[in-house]
Amino acid sequence: MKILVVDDEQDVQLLFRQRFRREIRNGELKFAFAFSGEEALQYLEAHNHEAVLILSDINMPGMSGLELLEQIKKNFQKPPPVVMMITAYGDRENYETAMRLGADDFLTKPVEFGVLKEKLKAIL
Amino acid sequence: MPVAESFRTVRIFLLALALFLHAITLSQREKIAFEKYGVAEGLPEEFARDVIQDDQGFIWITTQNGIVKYDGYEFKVFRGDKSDKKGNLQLRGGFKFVKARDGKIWTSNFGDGITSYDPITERFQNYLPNPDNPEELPYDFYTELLFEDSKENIWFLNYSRVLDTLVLAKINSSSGKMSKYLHKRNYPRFNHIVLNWELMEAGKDSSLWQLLHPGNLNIYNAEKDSMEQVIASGSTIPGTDIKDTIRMIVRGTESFDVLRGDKGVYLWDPVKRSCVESFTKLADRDNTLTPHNLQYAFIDIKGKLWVFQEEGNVTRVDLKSGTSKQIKYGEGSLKFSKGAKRTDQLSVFAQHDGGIWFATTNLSPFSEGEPLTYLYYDFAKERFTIYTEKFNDDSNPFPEGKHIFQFRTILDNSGLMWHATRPNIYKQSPKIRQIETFRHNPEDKTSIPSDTIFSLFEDSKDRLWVGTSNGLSLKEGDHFTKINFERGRNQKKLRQIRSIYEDSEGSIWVGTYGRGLFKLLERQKKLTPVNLFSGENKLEFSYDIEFIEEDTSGNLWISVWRQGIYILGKGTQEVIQKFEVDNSEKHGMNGLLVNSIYQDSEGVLWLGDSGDNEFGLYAYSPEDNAFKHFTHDPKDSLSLISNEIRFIEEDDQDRLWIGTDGGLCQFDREKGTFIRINEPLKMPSVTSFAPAGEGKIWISTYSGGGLALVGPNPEEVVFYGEEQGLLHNDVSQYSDQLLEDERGRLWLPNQRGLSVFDTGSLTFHNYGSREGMQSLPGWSRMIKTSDGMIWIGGFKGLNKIDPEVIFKKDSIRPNMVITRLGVNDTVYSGPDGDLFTKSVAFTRNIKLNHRQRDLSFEFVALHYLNPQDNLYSWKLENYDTDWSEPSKERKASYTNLSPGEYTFRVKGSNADGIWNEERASIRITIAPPWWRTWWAYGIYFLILLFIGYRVHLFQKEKTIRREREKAREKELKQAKEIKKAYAELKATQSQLIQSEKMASLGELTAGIAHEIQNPLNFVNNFSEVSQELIEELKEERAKSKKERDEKLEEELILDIDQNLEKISHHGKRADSIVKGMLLHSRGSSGQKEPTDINALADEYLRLAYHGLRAKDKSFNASMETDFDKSVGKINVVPQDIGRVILNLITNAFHAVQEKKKQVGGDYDPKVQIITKKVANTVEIQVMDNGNGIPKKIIQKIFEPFFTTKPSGRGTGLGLSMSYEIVTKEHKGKLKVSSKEGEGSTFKIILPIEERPKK
Repeated sequence: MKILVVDDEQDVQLLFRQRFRREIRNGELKFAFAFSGEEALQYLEAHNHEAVLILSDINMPGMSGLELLEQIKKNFQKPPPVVMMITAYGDRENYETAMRLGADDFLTKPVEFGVLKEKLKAIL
Repeated sequence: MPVAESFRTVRIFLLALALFLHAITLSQREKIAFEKYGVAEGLPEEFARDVIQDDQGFIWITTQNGIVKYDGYEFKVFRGDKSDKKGNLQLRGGFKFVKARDGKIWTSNFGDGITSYDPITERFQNYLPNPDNPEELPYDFYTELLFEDSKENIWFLNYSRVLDTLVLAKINSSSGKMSKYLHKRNYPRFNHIVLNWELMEAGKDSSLWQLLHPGNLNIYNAEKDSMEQVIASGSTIPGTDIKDTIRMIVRGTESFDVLRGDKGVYLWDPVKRSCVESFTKLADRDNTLTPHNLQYAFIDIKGKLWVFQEEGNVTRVDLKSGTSKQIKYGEGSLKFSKGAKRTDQLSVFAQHDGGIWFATTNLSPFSEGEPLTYLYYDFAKERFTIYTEKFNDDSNPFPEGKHIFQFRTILDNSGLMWHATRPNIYKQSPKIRQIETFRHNPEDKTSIPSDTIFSLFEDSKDRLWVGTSNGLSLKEGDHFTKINFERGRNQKKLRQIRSIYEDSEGSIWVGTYGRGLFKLLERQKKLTPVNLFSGENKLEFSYDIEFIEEDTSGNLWISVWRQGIYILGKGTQEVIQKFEVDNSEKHGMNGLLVNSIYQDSEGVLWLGDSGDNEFGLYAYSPEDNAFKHFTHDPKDSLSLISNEIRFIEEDDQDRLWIGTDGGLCQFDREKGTFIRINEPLKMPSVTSFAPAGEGKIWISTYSGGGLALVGPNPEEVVFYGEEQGLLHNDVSQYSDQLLEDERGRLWLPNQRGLSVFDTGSLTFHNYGSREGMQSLPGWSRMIKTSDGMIWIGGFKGLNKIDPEVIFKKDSIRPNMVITRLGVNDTVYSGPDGDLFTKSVAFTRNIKLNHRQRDLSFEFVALHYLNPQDNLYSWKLENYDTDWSEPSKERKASYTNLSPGEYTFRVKGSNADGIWNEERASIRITIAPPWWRTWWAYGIYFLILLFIGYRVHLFQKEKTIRREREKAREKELKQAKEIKKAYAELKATQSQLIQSEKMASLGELTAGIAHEIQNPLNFVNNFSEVSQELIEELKEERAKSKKERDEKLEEELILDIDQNLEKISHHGKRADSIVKGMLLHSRGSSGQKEPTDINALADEYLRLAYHGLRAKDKSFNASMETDFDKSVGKINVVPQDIGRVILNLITNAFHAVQEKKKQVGGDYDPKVQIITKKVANTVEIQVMDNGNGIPKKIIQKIFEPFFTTKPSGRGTGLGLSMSYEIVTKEHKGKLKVSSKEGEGSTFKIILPIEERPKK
């Protein structure tokens, strides 16, 4: 399963690679990384929408995670990928907007990787 | 007995019943959870051999390496000490315990002999083996305690190293006198030890009976102090005509005891020395038992006889009625896949009113047997429940594995089970897991359709409807039935079921997000779409329903996102009226996200928009058929507190309360204004409401102070948050109503678990994973159904809670013990022979002298349910006026007590708040010193009289002097006042400057919190990952050389190295943010230092962005930076220049935000920062594309107190301070250029100074 992680913090890439090292080694999960919403859309375009699941931060400079979510859910004809939103701001506005735009899950930072793994397994 | 047939019928019936019950237990098995106590928790050694509870309530545990006393908090370990100190333990450890009636605890050990502990003296008395003295223990291999008889003799077996050479002996608990008797025994089986089956004290007359191998029954003759034979092996059993050999004797009831022979079980009258009734395996005599060989028998506490026979035959005989029931081991409710296969491996461990605990155990600690299983026989249900070694609970710490040796299970005086095993001791806690969770299972079509729950509703027929992210389902029994809808042209699935509503005629309506409105066709159990828009079919499916609500005339009000309000006529699906946003000028209702509705006591219908927008609140007036609109106005403190409406509700005095994302306010009907509740920090956002009576209301808050009680006056607010015991202060809820049950408890699920607040006692009870409660993200849905159950749904399925079970209190009161008493610097526990002749726990009275005036009391409530939550309250009578506030404190100290009589009383509660009203107490008399006796007082009086006279003379002289001084002081005072006024003026000035600094800091804090959170997350994550990597590395290293993957090791080390670098990097990042903040808040030192201007600008840009973002969620702007690297470090006061940059950036952000609000859609807000090196200066430019500054005011912006912000929003000092900092302090220039409608540019020009040479 290919997972696209969208976050403006570059070190997230290293962190995910290590947190999921076993899964990556076993070939259970594959990760791709984008550092902005625009980059994420470019990636999806270029790779023919191969990502099944997208984990996106909400607060990013430029295109926000919510705008990205809207784009993905609106423009993708195939069954759209599962999108989980991750944010430091767990307020109702964010939550409701994310749900209305069709987010499949909503996590607040700091992300508990144990929980995340469980969720990924459930989707697998 | 004509019972053969009926027994068979009974047996078949029982089997069927047992199978049926077994099926139920599989689907809903009771789980028992345990807590582990091992070496890590304080045990001296892993092998817990025995456990008992003493008369005071302490738990005692024997190990191979010491004896342990446990009070719920600490393990006190008594270790063997061979030196002959008075009262110390001389055994290395202990084995089986016997508790004597005088309160002493007896145990023995391999090779070491016997010891007894007296809680009154807190001393051990040891009896060590001494083969040379016939009065003492002969053998040094092993001693096994049996029991205490009615004459205070402790009976035991003492073995030589050749195991078949042993003596039966007794020792008198008070005199210590020992006597020995010849004994022979067969190879012991486990139930020997548990049931003591070769020495017995008869229930009827307390006579003592010995079974001597190979089957001779003796009675103890106390006069001759010897054993006399009553039945010889193989002879006729008196009272019967059966020749038999006795193999086992067990104490029975007050009338008879149990003898088990090869052929039968005999109820033995010890006085008549004759058998009263017999049950045999001989088929020609009776049919109670089966023809199989007998294993063991005993009488349970209900007076029924159990007989175990080979091939798993178990018979329970009701001795009064003569009826019996047979259960076949391995069948029906005694069928299981794991555990011992033979009934002789089944031991009776604990009996209580409810039933019997059996354990299947392998006798030997050294052989690999079957894993442990437990059987509970319920007296009332007359059936067994099987528990695996995990007690059916996968998260139990109870160990799996075959090497466990289980010796004893006890139930303590509060009914909690304790297991002494190898390794560790296990305590039941809590009693059972209480919360049930329903999760989606893709393989089970009757499971809940999704783990994401959006709505819960119970209709008038008591049916529970669950709206999920994957459609609607109806709960029926343990199953969920998915409700589909009539498919028209649109084949899309139903997604989010957001509202379920039943109108007064019993019709059920369902509102979805994305698929519009549906009505339930009751007979077909299907949903049918309801079209709200005439002719506009394109909208038929793709719209969101916010609420469905019936008004007092029976019409249904439906709110549709971005469309408006549609009203369906009573009993129809026809829209009779609509208030659409498109023609809002006609009716005044223009809200796009209207999802609150409330019809108040005066019949006014209120609507609220929850969006972060300008809509706010509407009141419907039927006369005008239009809406009155209320909104937030930042300039008007009597306007609505915020436009984001969370709830509209009335309290019991019909006052209308509006909860918003900006706080709480109350509507003043007469004036048409709003009274705000000013709690910006603890009530920044409120979510739900419940009336609290007498004009008070309960409010839950988001990221505030937790739960709040407001009223009756709006300024009266009390918070109940984490300090009062709430698990998490964020108790935001989805519903506008707080869930309150019949007993006045508010249910507050949160991200840490479930908190339940009792509005009567004002206390919280919390439930977490221990009770099976999951943590939930905010915004979970809740409902209380008519059967009293509480349902909570979130992202992880649906939780069901039975409040009656969860609140079932442990009614067993704790035992209260005063354990230690400190007098001045000495702390007493055991008797010292002077102040205390008994241990403190047993002392009721002490006498002290006047120097012994500092006292401390230590105490403990012995109740093990959840001892860390036990509470204490105490009072020193004649000193304290009231009992102390209940607390977890277990020590009370008093200093400087005056002579007198005091009584210290203390009471305790268990974790369920059940108090022990029988308090522990101790009376203390402090004698007065000689100078406080009556004759001493006489002398004092005379001395006082003399002093009084002298004082009178002195006072007279003083009055005259004082008058003179007064005149002089008056003059001085006037001069001072002038000085003071001047100082105040100065202070006000500097305060103003400081307040500007703090105001800008305030803007920053949210940003800083967010900025720090990110690096901290990284630090935490990277260090956790590194731990995992190190574990992995260790695992790799533990492998043999051949298997080791050195490449992987290398890779792991590189990763760890890299992580450490990252940890350090992010640590420094957080550090620099905090330092930056400290610098900013600190008054300027005025010290110039070389500063990286680019880094400074970047840092403040981020802080300003996140600060604003946290304050206003809708805020967004693109930021561009263009930093000239050649700028490098220049000599400035960093905190001052930082402040200037921050001020300019914040202004820029405000400007673009303002414009975004006005222009909307197409405008792309942008803020740019550019640094440049120009000749001998450095330029910092802050540009925005906002509205620009009007020409007429551009001259004024650097003047103090000039501001364009609404009053209260800005000090007007920002730019003037910036100007001062740049021009005066740094000898630079601050320039502004602006084009109205296009934007502004501020330019800081700083001269590059030569570095001062040192």
